[in-house]
Amino acid sequence: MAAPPTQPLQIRVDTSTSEPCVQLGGSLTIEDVDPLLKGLMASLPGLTDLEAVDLDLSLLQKVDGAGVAALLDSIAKWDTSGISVRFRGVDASLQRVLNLYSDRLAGKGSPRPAQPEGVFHRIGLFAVQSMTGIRDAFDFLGHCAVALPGILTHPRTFPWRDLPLLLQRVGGGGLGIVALTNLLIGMIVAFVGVLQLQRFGAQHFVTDMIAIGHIRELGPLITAIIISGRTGAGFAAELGTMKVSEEVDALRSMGFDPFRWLVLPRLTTLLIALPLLTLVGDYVGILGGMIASLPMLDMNMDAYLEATARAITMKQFLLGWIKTIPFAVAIALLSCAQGLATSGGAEAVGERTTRAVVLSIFAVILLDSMHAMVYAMLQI
Amino acid sequence: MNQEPYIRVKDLSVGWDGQAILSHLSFAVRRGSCFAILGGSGAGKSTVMRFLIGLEVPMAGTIDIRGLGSPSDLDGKPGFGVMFQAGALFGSRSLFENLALPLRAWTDLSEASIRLLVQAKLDLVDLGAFADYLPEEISGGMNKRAAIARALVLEPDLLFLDEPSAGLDPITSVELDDLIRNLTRELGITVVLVSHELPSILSIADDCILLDKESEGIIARGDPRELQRESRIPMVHDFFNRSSGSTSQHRTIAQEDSPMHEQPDREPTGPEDES
Repeated sequence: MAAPPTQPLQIRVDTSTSEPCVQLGGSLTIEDVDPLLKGLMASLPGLTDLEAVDLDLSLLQKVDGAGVAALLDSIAKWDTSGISVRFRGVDASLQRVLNLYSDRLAGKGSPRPAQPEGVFHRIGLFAVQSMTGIRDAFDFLGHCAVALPGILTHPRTFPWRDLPLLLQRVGGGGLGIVALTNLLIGMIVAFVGVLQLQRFGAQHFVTDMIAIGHIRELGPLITAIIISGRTGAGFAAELGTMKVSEEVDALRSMGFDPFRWLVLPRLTTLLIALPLLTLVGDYVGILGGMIASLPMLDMNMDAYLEATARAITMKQFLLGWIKTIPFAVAIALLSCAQGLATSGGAEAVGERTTRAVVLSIFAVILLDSMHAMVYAMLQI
Repeated sequence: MNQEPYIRVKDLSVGWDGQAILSHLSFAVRRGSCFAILGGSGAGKSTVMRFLIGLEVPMAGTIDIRGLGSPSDLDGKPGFGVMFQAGALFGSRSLFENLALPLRAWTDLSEASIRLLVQAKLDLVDLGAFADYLPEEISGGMNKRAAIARALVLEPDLLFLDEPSAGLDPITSVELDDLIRNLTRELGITVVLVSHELPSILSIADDCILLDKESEGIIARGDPRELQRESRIPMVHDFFNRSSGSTSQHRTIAQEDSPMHEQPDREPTGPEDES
């Protein structure tokens, strides 16, 4: 004979007799958790004067772990209100489920106490985190400084063999996007420059504007920003993944200083690659400017190149190129620091990578503006 | 086996962010023995190992290895081999490169000798045919064996192994136990092992401590087989006799009406309801 269909959860509260009783019937499964919690919570005010109540489960037709866990949680709340519960109508199978969950609920695993989330708490937390961040930054710089002479004392703990590979990844791999971006920026500057200078009849000075503007400011800046996004993110993600998969600990346990093995090679690579990429970016940027502006100017290519060559002096070139050194240091150290500070799982790697890119780009722009201010003050 | 203590730990407190999770740990590891650090999940076994190998600075207490003090300065040739829980092989390098790395850094061997030694270690863990594979191209068990080979490559006389057989199939696990037993008995290597795999512990460990997160310390120490047979402490007895069902001390919900109601129409929906 087929079993009768399972009824929805029914909650009956009877406090009129000498033995007050709460009776549950029908289904007590995961779908019934919300009605159960609401129903039992609603019945609580009517039970507050009682010391004990019977909980009759004999009419339950279908139960699962979620329903039982919710039931026991509600009973625990009754218990804190001073109402003791006597179970009735519990068969062997239900008894086992009740025991299984009551063991866990009554057990030791109390949840972590909730942290206060007030404004003052957040301000305090921000202050503490800021101080910790500053301390960590100095700690990181100190470690790098200590690791540096170790190249001489333990030369074989510096990955010389990895340097060409890193240079290929950073320099060769980034060449295309750096060139393309600088080409486009050069063209944009040329379009805007010609149109604006035409208003004053000075459109021929666009050659100076493109050459000096790109070599002194835009070339190093754009190249550094591209490398921050490409290489900085790569460094942070790579080191972050190594950190969470215990590879950094494994390195340390084998006597390798992670700063010497991981950070210094990346710093060295960027110190070599970024100036070279900037050189390429400068020339391609000027090329882009020429491609865009020549059709709009009454000038042939030889005259354009001659005017450009006149505009570029060694001083202008060096004032721009010298900035690539602090840019490279900032990108490498910030990215590696974020990577090595990773703890947790995949989400933490993503978070640190994002932070590495944002910090690197901000640092590059900050350093560039500082250079601009110093150059302006020195009138160079 | 030498009775001389090789590692001495005294009043060690370990923890994170200034908060101790285990305090006043004192124990000694004899030279040439296999010493197991035991405990349930979250008891702090791997944390203790991190402090023993010098990855973390103790909050209190001392660790002395070979009478030379704490291994806090890891910048130099390592005095021991370490196998981490997940293997921690360098993912971008082949197994050969993983093993060759410490040899190139800390010995003056020629490349031919390095190739020979790496191949010998890989053969020792039955991975000789996989020297050119990347860690991602081999199974988790093979990664663990390769990690043991890397830990052994500089011929250390002290080996730290974090959960070497966790997650392995029974056959590989037994093979790994045999390898560890041979390392201690044939080569005299001192092994400090973190584990909660009871069959492995009973098979290879000479001595052990049992950590408990509730008591924040050591609740038992000694020969694991003796602890299994003789310990009268309920938690220790439970830990060593889990397979005999001693964990079934469930709290039973008080029932006012003892007779069970007949409920033939109740549908069992969970695994608990089979009967």
